[in-house]
Amino acid sequence: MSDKMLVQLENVWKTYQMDGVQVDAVRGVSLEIASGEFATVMGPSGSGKSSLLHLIGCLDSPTRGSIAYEGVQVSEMAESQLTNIRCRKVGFIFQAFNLLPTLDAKNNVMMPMRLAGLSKATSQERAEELLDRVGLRYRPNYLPKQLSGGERQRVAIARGLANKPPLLLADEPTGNLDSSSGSEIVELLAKLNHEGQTVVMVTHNPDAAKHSSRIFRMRDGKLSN
Amino acid sequence: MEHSGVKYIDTAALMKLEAAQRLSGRSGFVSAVLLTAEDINMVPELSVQLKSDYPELDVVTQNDLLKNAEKMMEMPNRFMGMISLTVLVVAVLVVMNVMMIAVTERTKEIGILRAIGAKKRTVLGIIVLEASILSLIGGVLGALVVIPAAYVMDWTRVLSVQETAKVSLLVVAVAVLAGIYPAYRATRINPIEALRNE
Repeated sequence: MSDKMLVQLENVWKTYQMDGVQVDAVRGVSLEIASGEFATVMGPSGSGKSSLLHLIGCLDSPTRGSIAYEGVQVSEMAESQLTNIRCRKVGFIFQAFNLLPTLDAKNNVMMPMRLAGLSKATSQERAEELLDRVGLRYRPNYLPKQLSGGERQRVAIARGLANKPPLLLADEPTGNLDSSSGSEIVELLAKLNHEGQTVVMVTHNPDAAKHSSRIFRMRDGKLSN
Repeated sequence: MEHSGVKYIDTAALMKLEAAQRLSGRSGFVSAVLLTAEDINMVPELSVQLKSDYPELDVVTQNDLLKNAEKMMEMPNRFMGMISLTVLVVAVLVVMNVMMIAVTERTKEIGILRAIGAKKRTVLGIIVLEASILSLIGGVLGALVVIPAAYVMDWTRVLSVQETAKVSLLVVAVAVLAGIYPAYRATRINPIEALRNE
C-alpha cells in the first residue's frame, strides 16, 4: 500500500450484538482513499455503508482488520485517541444535520474549534469565514430551527470544515432535503472537493453521486464492483 | 403558695435535719452533703481527695453538673443536625435525579459533541458544572428565604460566619456528589447510537 493514501482499510469487519444476535454490518471490506478524492459509497439501506463511514471516521473501531489514517494504524487505538482524531482530522456531516439546537449557526461552527482548544476570537473569525464559504454569511446568529434544511446542512458542512480536517465525511447528506436543496449541497461538496478537500459520501441517491471521482457499491456488508 | 421557679424546690419541704430524720425514721442518716471550697481552684484536687478517702461516696462538682447541663443542651443541636443531614441527602437525590433526566433528554446533543471530538472528560465537566450551577442557584434561593426568616424568628445565631461557610461547603458537596454519577453516565453515551436516525 502506498503511504500517500489518506485512508487504507484492509479486510475490515464490524460485528454488532443486537439483542443477543450477531450482525455482521461490514464483512471484509478493503479500500483506499487518496487525498483529493470525492468518493461515494452507494448501496441500499442496511447494506452497511453507514457503519463503514463510522469506521473511516473513527467513530467506531473494527471488530477485525486494519484501518490506517495518514499511514497511522487507528484500528487498535483507545477511545481517547480516536476522539482526538475525530476532533482534528475528520469532519462529519449527517443526514439529520445534528446541529446543537441551543446554539446559533456561528457557535455551532465554533464548537469543534473550541473543543480543539482554539481561542474564542480565532474560532469566531474562522467560523465567520466558513459560513461565508458555504453561503451563509448573513445568518450567523440564526438558531438551527430558524434555518431551512439546506441552510442547516450548510452550517453542518461549515462545522465539519472547522478544524481543517484532511477528510470530510458525509452520511446521506441529502437524505432529509428536497431535491433542489439536496443538489445544492452536493454541488457545495463538489466545490469544496475542487478546492482540494477529500470527501467521502454515503448515499443511495444516484444524482448525488454524479460529482464523485469514484463510486463504491456496497451490498450485504461487502463492496461489489 | 407561689412557685419558686425551681422545679425540685416546688415539690419539696424545707425543715431541720433532725426533723427529717425523725420523720423518715432513719435517725443519723444523711443522703448528701453540700461542700463549699474556700478556694475554687482547689475543687478538682479536693474532689479527687474525697473520692479516694470515701470510695463508697459519689463526689459531684459544679463542673460536672455544668457538663451534664451542656449535654442536655446539645440534644436539640443533634436533632437539628439529623434534620440537616436528611435535607442534604434529599437535596443530593433531587439534584441527581434532575441531572439524570437532563442527561437522558440530551443524549443526542451529547452524542453530537462526542462525534465532533469532545473528550469524555469534557462531557463529564459540562455535566458536573451544570449540577454545580443548579446547586448554587438552590443555595442562593435558600439563603434568600432563610436569612429574613432567621431575623423574623429572632434566631440569628444560625447566621454566623462559620455556619454560612459550612452551608456553602455543603452546597458544593451536593453539587459534586449529585453531578458525578449522571456525568459518568453521560460519558457512556455511544455517539453512533445517540445519532441513529429517528
